[in-house]
Amino acid sequence: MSVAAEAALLAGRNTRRFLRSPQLLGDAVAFPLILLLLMLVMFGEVVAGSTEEPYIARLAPGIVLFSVAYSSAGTAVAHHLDLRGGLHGRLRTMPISPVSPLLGRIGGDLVKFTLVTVVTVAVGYLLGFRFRQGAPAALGFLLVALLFAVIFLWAALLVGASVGSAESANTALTTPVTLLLLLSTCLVPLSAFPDWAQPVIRLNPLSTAHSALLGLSWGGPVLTPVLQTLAWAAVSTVVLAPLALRRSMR
Amino acid sequence: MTQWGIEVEHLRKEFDGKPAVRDVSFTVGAGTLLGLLGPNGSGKTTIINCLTTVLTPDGGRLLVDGCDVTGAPEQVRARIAVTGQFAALDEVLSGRDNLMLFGRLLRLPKRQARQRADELLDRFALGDAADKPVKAYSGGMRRRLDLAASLVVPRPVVFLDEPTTGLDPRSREELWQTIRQLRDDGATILLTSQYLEEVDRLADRVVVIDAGRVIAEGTGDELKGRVGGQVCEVTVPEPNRAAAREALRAFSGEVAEHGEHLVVPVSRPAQLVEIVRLLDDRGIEIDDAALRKPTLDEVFFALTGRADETADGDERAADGDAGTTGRDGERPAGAVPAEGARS
Repeated sequence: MSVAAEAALLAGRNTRRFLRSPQLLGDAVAFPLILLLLMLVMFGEVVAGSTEEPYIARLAPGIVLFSVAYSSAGTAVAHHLDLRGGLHGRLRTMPISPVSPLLGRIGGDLVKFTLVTVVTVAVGYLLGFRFRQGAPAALGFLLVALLFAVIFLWAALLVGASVGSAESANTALTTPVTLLLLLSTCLVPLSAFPDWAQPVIRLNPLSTAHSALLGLSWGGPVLTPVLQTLAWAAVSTVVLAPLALRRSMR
Repeated sequence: MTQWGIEVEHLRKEFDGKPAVRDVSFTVGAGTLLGLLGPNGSGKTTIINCLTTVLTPDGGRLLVDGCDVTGAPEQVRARIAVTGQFAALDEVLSGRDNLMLFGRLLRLPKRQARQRADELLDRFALGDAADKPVKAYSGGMRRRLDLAASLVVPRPVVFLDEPTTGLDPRSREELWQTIRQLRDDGATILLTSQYLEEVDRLADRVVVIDAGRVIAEGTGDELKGRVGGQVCEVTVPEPNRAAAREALRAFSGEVAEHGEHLVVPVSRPAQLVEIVRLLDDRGIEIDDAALRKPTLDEVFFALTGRADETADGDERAADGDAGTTGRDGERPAGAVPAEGARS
């Protein structure tokens, strides 16, 4: 059997697991929606007028990205529990590729993130968010969100395999991800940051992906931010994936 | 088919410079059950992990069903079934979904995977719980499902790492029955245990390890013979026990105490009379004194120079999944499940 088929089976397991846990499902969907409404009320007024687009056009993609990055903590915890609980140990004694469990975890989470993205965008629509660039751009929106997810998924697998407890797997990601959100263009435009900070803010993966999503929904440059996001995903895969695999095999 | 199901020659494995397995050699005849007996931390799980390709040995040669573990790990993985100390299952999925997942990963087509899952659920008396999530299973059911999961595709060599740890006596008995059945079907089985009784009941041969070394090997009866053939068990009511033990110590250095019984190895049957006379001379009243064959517990005591404190009353939480039964408080001292090899 090919690695892809094995990974697909294991991804199916993760998706089924997710769909069978009402709490996980509820959390995954409720979290971005609450955040979306909260931020819209809090910052909507302040930011309105300082940009050309309405605040919801900036906020909805921002919340999609933050939700994806934030729930990589759940990926880390789940991977940690698989390693500690023995399931991963069993897979390792079976004649399957050692990479398949990791790819299966990533595949399953990409399915989850698709759901999160669709629900967040749907609620965003009620609040005034629009795809102004047509259907192919809307599909591109989803693909860029998933490409962005890959950056954090490899990090999550590495963290899950490295930490000593499920709790630390969680906090090891939620704290930096929240910081990254605040230092990105997801909530406020680049011009809101001091000049000296702007080059760094601009390279934040949340910012590059956000620019791409903004371009694919409201309008604006697409190619450069997509390539930057692709570069982030490539770097994460090349650097973190081998480490995550090695740590998982200890 | 080779003569040996498993061959271990001079296995060495260390963790961060600390030796876990020092120089272990043993063989398991094809179609037989070998019991690997040892206390916590003696290296049992490390040996299993090396044999099942999870860990790379630092030295030695390991053959499983004739395949070299380091040279051809894929071939080994296609020949083994492994049941570890912790139930290696998805807690959220149902029993059937778990079995189907493993079946399909082992290349069974979907329909066949389902058929095989149902077969196993029936055989392991889990049919009624087939569609319930595993987290709703009892410890015994979980262990049975775990064993079933490793048997989805029959394998010639089966590894069972402390399969009954944490089970109640009835579930343990049921699992033993299943293990015997497996051996009768022709599988080569390597079973580790801290329960001397378990090894005594199931194993064709026993290898006793302590601190990463083999300290004894043979059939249960041969090992019992090493203690000197017989022991004298003296039943002493309180308040005489301490005095009786003192008196017996003059007779033999190795006095073991089990509840109200004191146990002393003897070399000649006539020593029974000498013991009774000795106690009588000192005015120590006893209820009973009798000769019998030693138990494996006593063998273990004699071999390692210490009692196996983990052998009974050990009711520890059986799985490593967070958020389930947190029964750490019931863990007796020295019965920590981690063996250093798991990470």
